[in-house]
Amino acid sequence: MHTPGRGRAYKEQMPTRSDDAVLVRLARAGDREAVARLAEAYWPVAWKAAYGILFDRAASDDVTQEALERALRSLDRFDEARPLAPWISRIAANRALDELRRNRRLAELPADPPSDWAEEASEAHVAVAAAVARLAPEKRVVLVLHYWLDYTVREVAEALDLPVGTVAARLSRARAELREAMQDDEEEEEHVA
Amino acid sequence: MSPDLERRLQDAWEALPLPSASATSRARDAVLGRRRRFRRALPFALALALASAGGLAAGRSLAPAAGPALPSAAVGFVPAAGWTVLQTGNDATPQHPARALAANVPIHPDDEPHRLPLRTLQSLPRDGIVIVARFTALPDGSPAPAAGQLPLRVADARPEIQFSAEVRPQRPLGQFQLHRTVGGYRVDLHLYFGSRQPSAGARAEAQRQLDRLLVAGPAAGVRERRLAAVAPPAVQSAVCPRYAPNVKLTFGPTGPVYPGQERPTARSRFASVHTDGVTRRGGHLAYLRATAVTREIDAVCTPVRLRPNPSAARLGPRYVHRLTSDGVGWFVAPDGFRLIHPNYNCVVGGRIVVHSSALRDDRRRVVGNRFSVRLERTNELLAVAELRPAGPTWFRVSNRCTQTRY
Repeated sequence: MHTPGRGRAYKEQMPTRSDDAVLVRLARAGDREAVARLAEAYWPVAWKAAYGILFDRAASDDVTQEALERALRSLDRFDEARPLAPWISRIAANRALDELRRNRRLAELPADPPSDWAEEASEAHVAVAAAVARLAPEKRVVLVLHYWLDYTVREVAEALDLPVGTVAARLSRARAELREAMQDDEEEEEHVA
Repeated sequence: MSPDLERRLQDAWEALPLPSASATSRARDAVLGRRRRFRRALPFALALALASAGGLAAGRSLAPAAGPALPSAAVGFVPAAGWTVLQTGNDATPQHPARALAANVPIHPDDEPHRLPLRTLQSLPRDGIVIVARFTALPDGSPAPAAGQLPLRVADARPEIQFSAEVRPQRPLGQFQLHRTVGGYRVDLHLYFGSRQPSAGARAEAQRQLDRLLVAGPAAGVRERRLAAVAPPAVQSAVCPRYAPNVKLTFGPTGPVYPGQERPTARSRFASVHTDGVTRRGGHLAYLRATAVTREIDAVCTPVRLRPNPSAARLGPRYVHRLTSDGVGWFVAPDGFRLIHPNYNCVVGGRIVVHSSALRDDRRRVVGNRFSVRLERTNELLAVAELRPAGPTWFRVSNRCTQTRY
């Protein structure tokens, strides 16, 4: 049984939990500086959550902005006992899913892998991420939600309004395609070498 | 999938690119309400931010109790005797929530209405009271709080001490919060008392100011009676705000930005702000003109704000060009209105249909008008309210220009 990498998506440098508590408190009271600091701190992680689903920079910019505005307006409903990053990321992911449903191009066509991967990323990581990008959106999304954003299979099913069995099947097919793609890449590299 | 590959899949998150600095900066500004969102979905990459046309949104109005100021948006406090009020003047949209600050003590000069008034709170005397209010038009993408009716009641507020984040730990304040939906707005109130256990007198004093909370939303009927009771004296003593247009027209992330221009019109009681822009995308010419008008009558200013928010989407070989504008304004004595439409230009051919609506409060009932107008291109849209001796009016106009063919 796979256990998703809890917290994997939230490694970016962010305020500590105690910082968060104070910032959230001040933001709730209308302090613009607190809102600004929260927005700056959580923009990257929210953006990456949206980008992982959409693989489209411009769409991710829009989606994340809306998600962040929505999240910061909804701080009164944030459960302070929980960390802020997963909450904001999920709002961004949900908004990205809405965009995916709305935008035919994004929903039907495999994404173009970006050319500006993170500088510190290893080639192996880039290869896997590129293979994920090339998956059909329906498969890519379940994979991204499950492995990158730590959704359980049931949560993926709820987010996509699909039966759990369908999600499990898509995950399985996505993994198979990914494995195949990775093998092709490795064979190609060997051939080139 | 092997465990190794599964781990690589999880770790591949690290390889994802980071957002661009410009997008981050833009988002920060948007979250802070400084700039409107650029919409990626525009094939012509048109985005227009027209804000603060009446000069109210950018500034704040300080109103002593003897001379209450008209809230720039139709939300805020009319100060009770002995109280001071600051308002942000924002338009209370989700992007620009309006904030108001009321205190029965002098507000520290370092404190502003858009943030927690820390300096005032830190020196708040035992009988001091500060009320911070935030207004956001609904829907704002999140569940609305429980419905409330004006006047909101101090007795309904609940204690608010969270995260051990006392504003003044050495001499704790009494902190309370109240969240309600009123007149189409989310109203978030934070009440601060100089003592942790406010006396009945202090609560009554806070209630006296809370009684003068104005919330005039799209559902104008909700506060109709309230306006008739409170707004006229506020209007009569209002000081004409400085006219400070803040208009930007933006074409795409790298396109030109045109600042707004203030041009007094032939009729001296009007001032208008025009924004013009031309862009070429995909071989097609896109042109947009937006106009905001303020109207001044005697010493009282009556802003009308049109906030075009154009968007367009490419649908195969055809284009749909949709231009929406949304305006709100206070009028001193309008009774009736008319819309004139010069120069509302969607150059890429076809017919324009403008759907408009307006609400008018004549003290007895709220009148709504909705209509559609077909225009040839090169028409311009202006909203004008006519003067009659009547009560203050909540005016809302929503125009949509739809073009469906070349």
